[in-house]
Amino acid sequence: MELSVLEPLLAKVQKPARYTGGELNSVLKEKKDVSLRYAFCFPDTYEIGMSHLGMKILYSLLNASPHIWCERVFAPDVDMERQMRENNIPLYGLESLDGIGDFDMLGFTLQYELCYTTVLNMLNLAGIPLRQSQREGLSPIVMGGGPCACNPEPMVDFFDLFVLGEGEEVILELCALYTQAKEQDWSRQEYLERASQIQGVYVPSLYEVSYQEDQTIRSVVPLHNAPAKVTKRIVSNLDEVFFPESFVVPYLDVVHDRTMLEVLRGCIRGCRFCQAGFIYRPFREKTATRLNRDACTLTENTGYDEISLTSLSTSDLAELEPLLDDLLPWTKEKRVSLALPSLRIDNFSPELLDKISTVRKTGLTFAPEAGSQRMRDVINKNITEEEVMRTCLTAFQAGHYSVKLYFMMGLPTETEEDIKGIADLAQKVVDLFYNMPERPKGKTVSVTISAACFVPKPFTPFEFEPQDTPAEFRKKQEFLKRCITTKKVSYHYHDSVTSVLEGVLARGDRRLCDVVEAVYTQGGNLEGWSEHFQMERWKEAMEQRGLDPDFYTFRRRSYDEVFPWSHLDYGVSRHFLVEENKLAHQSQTTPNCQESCSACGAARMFAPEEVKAPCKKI
Amino acid sequence: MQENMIDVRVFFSKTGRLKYISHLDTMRALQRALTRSDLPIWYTQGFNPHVYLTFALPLSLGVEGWEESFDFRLTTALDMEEVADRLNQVLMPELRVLRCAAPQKEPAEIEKANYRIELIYPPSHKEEIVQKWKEFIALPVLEVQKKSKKGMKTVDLAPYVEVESTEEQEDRLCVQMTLAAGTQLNINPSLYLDAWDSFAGCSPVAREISRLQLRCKDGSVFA
Repeated sequence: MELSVLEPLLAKVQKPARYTGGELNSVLKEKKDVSLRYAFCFPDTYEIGMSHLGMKILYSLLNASPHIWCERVFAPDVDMERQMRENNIPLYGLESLDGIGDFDMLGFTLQYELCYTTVLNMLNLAGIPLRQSQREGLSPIVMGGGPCACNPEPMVDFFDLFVLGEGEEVILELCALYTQAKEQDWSRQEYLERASQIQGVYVPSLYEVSYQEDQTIRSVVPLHNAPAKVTKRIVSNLDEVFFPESFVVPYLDVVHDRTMLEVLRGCIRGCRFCQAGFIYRPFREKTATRLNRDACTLTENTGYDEISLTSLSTSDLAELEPLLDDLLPWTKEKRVSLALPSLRIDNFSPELLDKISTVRKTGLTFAPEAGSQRMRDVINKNITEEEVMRTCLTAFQAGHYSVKLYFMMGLPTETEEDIKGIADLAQKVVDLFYNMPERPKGKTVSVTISAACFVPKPFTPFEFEPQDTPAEFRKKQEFLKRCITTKKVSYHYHDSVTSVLEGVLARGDRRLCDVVEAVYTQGGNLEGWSEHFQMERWKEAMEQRGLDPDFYTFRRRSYDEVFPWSHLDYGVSRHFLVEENKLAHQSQTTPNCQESCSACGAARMFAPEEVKAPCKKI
Repeated sequence: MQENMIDVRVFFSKTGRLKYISHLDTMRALQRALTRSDLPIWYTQGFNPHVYLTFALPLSLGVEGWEESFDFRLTTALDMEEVADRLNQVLMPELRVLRCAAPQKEPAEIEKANYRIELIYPPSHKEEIVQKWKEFIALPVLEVQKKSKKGMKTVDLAPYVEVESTEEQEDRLCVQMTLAAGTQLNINPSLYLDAWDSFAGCSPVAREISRLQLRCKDGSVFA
């Protein structure tokens, strides 16, 4: 499509630059030179999607192949979508401005459950039949990946396949297989049956799910030679994995607009509520040499003035100090600042803080996650109150007077006392500031509490637990508000209704596909944005199909129930999760992987000769 | 430590897809380009050192700029052509450096801007439009509502607008005009063109505006 076709529309919408492409480092190729056109679709707006590191990696990786052209696609905002529909302009790739309905492959990343209706809206805007079964011919193959792929069941009717785990190797294998399919004129079915033989590829249409009278799953039966269990893929040697040398640099103000360096994958801590910590195991790190080199190349090619050392727990990187020592000289000279999000409270030192040039001295964020020590033990967040105090003191002494503390409520075995503990902890931090002998004159402290509504997730020790109801959440939120007695502490809380829907979809089964489609048909789109989310639509759609949201969220699940995700293997074993759940109910902790290996099962993801510490060879 | 501060004025164009990025977006893009260029740049002092960059006059979103300018500082004297080359090596086709030079005038001296405007109409309307346009540009007084710091106020645009030429093409009118511009008084071409739309009783299919040049009080080009 020519830009001139778009221009009359662009004059009528907010922030038109989101829809034009043309950014620095975006990849332009000649159509006639490529044989595989790939659309990487992020189901949210440009400003959100441009921050996604996974897209940046796969975009560079695919475009490094001369015969593949990967383009970026984001969800248009409401005003632009209206213009597009009125003018018959299909959803297009930002690089070529061509409609993606004619592409070979579409890849959606599923980052959070509330984006599901947006995926359907984008398929519709692209002119692609929503249901996998309705698609004719070989292309386009619609694939999904990302964290929600660990239980993609509520979306299986709309996808040809899912990639479980890390995409760097398997995505190229799928492309190579597709090229073969095109040359040899295979049908879609033939392609999918062959693809199901690649490790990490889940083809949902090759599985038959049956249910018991109590609505739980009886069995998931594979067809046509598909594996009984689909095992995820990992990249064994993270230090040598592909990483981009440049990123597309947006003109617009987008979130997290900086150089992102992924320093490690997985997590050693084993916090029991955290899905990411388990599904990205086993723990693997990069070296300081590799990271410094990447940082340098990326800064040269982008001109970004900030580098973020990104991971689930950056302060667990073995070579963090040497890395900072390598980075500081040249970043200081080029006025590039360093950001270390996700810092642990228990290894936060003045020396570390000193090295991070958070020049604007904006607040620091820590995550105690629970207010009482008992509760922290239940969730295996091995942090003591003393450590919280010590860390806040370090922050205050370094001139950071604004601290944000993340908590959750609705955790298993939680009592009112635990909720009150949140307020007490925040109060203690305020008192700590005022009791400092060297307290700075004229400065005041600000402690912000953010308490999210806990959602039990698959592949965690809490996947068996019931979620709190909206009424229970509201009661606890009101209670916490009453416990806070000082103006120095402010409390931010989230609407619990979206958390409950998240809970339904997170542990849902494939009967929910019809519900997702129904909500989309009723106008569901961009539901991650509070102004667009409507719980009523979901409730009605479920009721009409005889499905009960409470079945998915408020029910305690037994240790031997077959879950909608039980046929997917992310390494961590059911046995381990059951044992961890039992320990949680006894308020007992488990040591982290560096302290001692608890044989969670993730080490099986390595080939036997490639097992890396702290995992132990099985 | 005292550093050298050598002022450099960069003349650049911003065209095509990049007319859709805002002034702030442009500033950010140029700051990043300066970082990529590896030129010996002077940074601001204080808590949050960043690339020092200041513009002559911001450009509205949707308007192409054919000869815009910004100033930055070097800490080491360099050949101006080399500076321009090194910047262009790290820029994009739609954001190009035309030339670099030592600043000669103050941005506050800017009083006028020269524009090229293309108004696209359906062929059936064209005769009528051309006739009306001739009447419109001859109006001795043209009062519009302009937003000012104290709210809306009525302003007569006539003294601040000079239409230099009008060319008829198959599907459009191409107009070259000069409008008051600068920090004291700035007339956005949209203000004039919206008044034209009212007068004509219809809107064009599309409107393309390009700012060609900035000029000072005595008519000389801003340099």
